[in-house]
Amino acid sequence: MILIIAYGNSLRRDDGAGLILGELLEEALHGRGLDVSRIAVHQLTPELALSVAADDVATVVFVDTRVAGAGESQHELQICPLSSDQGLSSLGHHVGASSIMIYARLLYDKSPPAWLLTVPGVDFDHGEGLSELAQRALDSLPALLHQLPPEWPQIPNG
Amino acid sequence: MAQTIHIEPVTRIEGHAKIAVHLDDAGQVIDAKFHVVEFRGFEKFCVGRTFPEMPGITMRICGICPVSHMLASAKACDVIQGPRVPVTAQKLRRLINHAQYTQSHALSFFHLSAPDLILGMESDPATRNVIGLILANPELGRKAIRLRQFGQDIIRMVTGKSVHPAWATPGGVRTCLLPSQIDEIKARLPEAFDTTEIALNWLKDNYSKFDREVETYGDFPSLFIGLVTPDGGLEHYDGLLRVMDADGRILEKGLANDRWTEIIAEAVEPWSYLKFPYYKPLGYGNGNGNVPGLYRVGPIARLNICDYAGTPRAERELRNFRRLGKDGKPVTSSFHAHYARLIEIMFSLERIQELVNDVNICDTHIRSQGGVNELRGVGVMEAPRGTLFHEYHVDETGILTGVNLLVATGNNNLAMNKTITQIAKAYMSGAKITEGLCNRVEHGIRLYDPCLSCSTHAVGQMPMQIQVFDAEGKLVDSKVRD
Repeated sequence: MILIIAYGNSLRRDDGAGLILGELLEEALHGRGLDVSRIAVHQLTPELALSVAADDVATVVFVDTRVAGAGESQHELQICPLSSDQGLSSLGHHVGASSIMIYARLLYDKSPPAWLLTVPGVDFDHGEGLSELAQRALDSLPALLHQLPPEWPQIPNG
Repeated sequence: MAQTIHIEPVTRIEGHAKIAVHLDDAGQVIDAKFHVVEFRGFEKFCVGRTFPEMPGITMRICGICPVSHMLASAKACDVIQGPRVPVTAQKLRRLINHAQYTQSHALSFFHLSAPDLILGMESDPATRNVIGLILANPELGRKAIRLRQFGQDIIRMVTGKSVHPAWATPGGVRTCLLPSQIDEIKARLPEAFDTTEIALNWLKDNYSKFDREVETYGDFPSLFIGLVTPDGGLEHYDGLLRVMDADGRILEKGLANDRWTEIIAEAVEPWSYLKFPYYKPLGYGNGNGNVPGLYRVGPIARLNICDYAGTPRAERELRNFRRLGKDGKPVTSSFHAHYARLIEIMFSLERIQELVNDVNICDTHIRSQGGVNELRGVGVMEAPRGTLFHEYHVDETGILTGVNLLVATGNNNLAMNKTITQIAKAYMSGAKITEGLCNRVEHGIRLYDPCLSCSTHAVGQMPMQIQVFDAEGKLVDSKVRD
């Protein structure tokens, strides 16, 4: 089973784009006949490691908004592999996706392949709409999936 | 040369803030300020909406304690609507509130603060984190996760969602509890009690290691404000406002919620978006930083002001907690917030046990109907972090014309500033910032478990930046802490 964990605040404009992208990804993967489950949360919390460590989870895709940097030239969806072996110092901050994976590995001895899919965001004001940038990036999901190997995300990420 | 040192942001708290430590010409700490750099716009955002929407909107202020906002909002809407909330609906609201206390306090203690407590305030930052804690005691790590999950699962079972449950509504709640769900909660309670007991025993066994922290992490006289039951018991959901001073004198025994603005006023400072609430009868002072009306809310305040806990295990711990006060007076060190949180987890678990054994908990009459019967509604809750006020004004059609939210973190703003000043004075000498000092100052803030601007998570994920400025505002030192 592919586990999608989407997070953000739907009342803070682009901050909620990851939640929408999570729904779109779920639909797309369902359309391929894959077994998919999606969790939508405001922010990541430690007990999500239990969901990641479930026996039927083969792959995890975290879906989030990233702050589009001023110098960032690629305002598109981005996918990167996520490791459960990344540096520990980052865990001093907010619970991040890699932290969840580290919890799952250390506490439950589970390390399914994991990916981080992000949509760029520029507007985090109060409201429910998305910026043009974020919306355009969401619209590009079919094209992105077309570029990826057909078996993604069920491929090794190392 | 006078200098200002900025520490930005505080890690492991919900939101984004920075800390500035001010030194005098001799390099000694004279003051510390906790800057909140994001503006909350929810109050203006809500004006013009209909009042029944408010529980669903305001819960999205926070990803960790949405239940508090939802229930405070629902209580304010109950007043506007008028008819009494059915008894079972009130019990169900209490049930998820206790579940929220369990998960929120567990996050604060086990995941945010325990690394400092167990691994040491000045231990290597590469291992002084929750993973270091897990490596030191993996079974405790698993238990801590399951305790949080227990609280979240109760909220999910009762409301259908664990985050942002649009479940409480003016006049009651939307869904009732099923017998199968009661069975599941009962089956999981023993482990939750066991985990809490382990944490309590560990903390009490290790208190002597923290003598200096007890004296320097926010140990000062202040007022304490919170809700109590009509007869003075520990209360998290409803009740009357009580104010106690540092000597234990009761200044307000039981004020009705809708009179809260008679005792609380808010000052504004140019360096923070967060306001500075104070107890109005004693005032804000003359601006020299000494605020006569400074008060604290949250776990310590609640345990100080109540006459009794009302559940056996929490009552036993409350008696022990009170011995931490000097000469029989209230507990004044904010370091004891860790102990207070564990006591409140125990209290919540005992209340959950009572509620799932209540013969009427599965009743299906859970909502009363009404229109607009009052133009002003006030809902006051005890959120895990402290007293939470929602005040709404509506027109005759139920459209919101005014919204005033005073969140728990705001209530503690003055106390947080005083706490970090005390820590900086105790542990800092010269302009050099050590890793240990940074962590101690952060720990001082985390004692209040503040929730500042967690409504956006994406912009809060930054490395810590520490900056030193001279009297002219020139940057003389900078350090980034990944």
